[in-house]
Amino acid sequence: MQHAGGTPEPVERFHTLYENCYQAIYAYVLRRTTAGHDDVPDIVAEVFVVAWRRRHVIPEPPAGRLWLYGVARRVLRNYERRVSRRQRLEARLREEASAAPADDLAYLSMREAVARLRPRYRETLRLVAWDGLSHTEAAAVLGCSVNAVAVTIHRAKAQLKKELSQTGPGPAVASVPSSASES
Amino acid sequence: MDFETLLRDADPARAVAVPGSESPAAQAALESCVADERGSRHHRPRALRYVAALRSPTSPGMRLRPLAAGGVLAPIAVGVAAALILGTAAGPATHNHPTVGRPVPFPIPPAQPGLIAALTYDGLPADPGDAAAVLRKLADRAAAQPAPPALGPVWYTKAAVWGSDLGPPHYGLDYRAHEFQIMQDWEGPTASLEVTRYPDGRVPPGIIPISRSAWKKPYPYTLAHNPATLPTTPAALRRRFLSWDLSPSNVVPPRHPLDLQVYFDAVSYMEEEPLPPAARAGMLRLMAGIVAKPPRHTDFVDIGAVTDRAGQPGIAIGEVEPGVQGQRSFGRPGDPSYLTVDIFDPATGALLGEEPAACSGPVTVLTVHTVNEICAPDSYTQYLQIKAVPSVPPAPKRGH
Repeated sequence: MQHAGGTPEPVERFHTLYENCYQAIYAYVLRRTTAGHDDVPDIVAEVFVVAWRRRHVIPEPPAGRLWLYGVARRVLRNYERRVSRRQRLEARLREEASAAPADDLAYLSMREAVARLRPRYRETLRLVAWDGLSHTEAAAVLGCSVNAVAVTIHRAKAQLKKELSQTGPGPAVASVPSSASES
Repeated sequence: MDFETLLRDADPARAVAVPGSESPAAQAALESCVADERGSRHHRPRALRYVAALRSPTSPGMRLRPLAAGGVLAPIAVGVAAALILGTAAGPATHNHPTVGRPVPFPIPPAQPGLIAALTYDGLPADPGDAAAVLRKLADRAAAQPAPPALGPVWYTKAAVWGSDLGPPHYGLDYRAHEFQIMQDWEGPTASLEVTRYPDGRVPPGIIPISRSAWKKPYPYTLAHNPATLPTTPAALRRRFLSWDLSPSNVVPPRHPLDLQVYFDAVSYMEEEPLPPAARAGMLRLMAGIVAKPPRHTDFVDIGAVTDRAGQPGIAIGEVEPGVQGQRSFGRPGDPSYLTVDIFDPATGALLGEEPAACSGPVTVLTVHTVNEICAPDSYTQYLQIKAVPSVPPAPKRGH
């Protein structure tokens, strides 16, 4: 249902957000879940329960998607607190054991390098490089300036290149300009 | 492979078939939302309610419980977009009638860490269990009050909300334990405005502090809820409530036993709208009748005199719903319970506030011991002002 004035009602806004963003939020959670994939559906469900409860304050598109990323970020943070160190270790061992092909090793090296970034760098880089957010959008999710995102991305990539060149076994990393463009 | 390609392709989600919104996992997630809504007595989408709902006792470790097949999502609760406005300092509480309650200082000093109950239970009632008698007395007092100056066209609500000690079982949404906020809400036939104000000016992530909606045609909910057209007898009020609850215009089909639905309707009116004294008295008598013969799996208890966190004296009625796995769902008697305490002004019968609480066991006779030992309040909402105003104001700018 939509108001005659064109403003979607909260329920419709929620459903639109749900249909348009479920996959993106699922992937977002998947990328950040260190304890294996089993819990991802539950975490995603929890994100949408929170969104449902707060459907009256879901911003109009396109801000709603970014708001949902913010919710997912905080739900995940809470999830991470609940996962024990032992579970995280087990999950990491499973991930390492499953890595086999050469390409996967390169990817694994990159992921591990990303994981070693300082938290702010890591989250900013993932939002832009993997979640596909523009610098402006990432700034909205993180609550910082667009310029801060650009600087953080630049530094994160520089650190990644340095790490990969030292540790291998990743491929030779070309000296590619690291300033991601606005999408 | 260059760096940018490697970085992009190292995305852990690339190698995984991420389910879409039509997948079983997605449907289960959506049905969790429905389950969450069904579990709430607060079927009306009131922003104030959702603040409390956000602090629900859902255990962080539990797996969300999808409904059985057939849980269609479509029409879940919706009403008028509730509105809260960033306003000035909280003034004295006025519930149609002046002089009710005490001024709430703003900012409110934080509650004592570890304090569980927002309410102070001042004493056991003389005739515990006879909540119906209490409501009838309140009805008599409500009937004797002067009429509010106006009943519309816009309903304005100002409320103070105290969060409880959230502790570990919370979503980690950066909400502060004992968080305090002032919420203002204008609801008109063609517009609504909501503003939430935090005493320190810091808006928690995920909160949109100002929200204004407008539409061209009068919204059915506000038309149906016009307090000026309310009948005054319990039977007529009941018919009136059900005519809306069961009407095709209402996208929120009742999911409680009808008597309970009617009880909630009456509470909703009291927390949203200025009411004629006779209508308020009729609602309290209607509630008393339901309390005297409660629907199955529901219980009402006379809590007696209380003092709320703002130091406001009140008289309280507790409504107890059995829960399932700690959620606010109807379930088997003996399961963990969900308690909602409604606090009334003993002088006027006006609704002063409410305190929802999750209880780890069944609640049959509520005592101070019961509350402190097995119930953990989620929040306390105090209604500071409920009155009619001429129009919905424009949305204020952030920071003003």
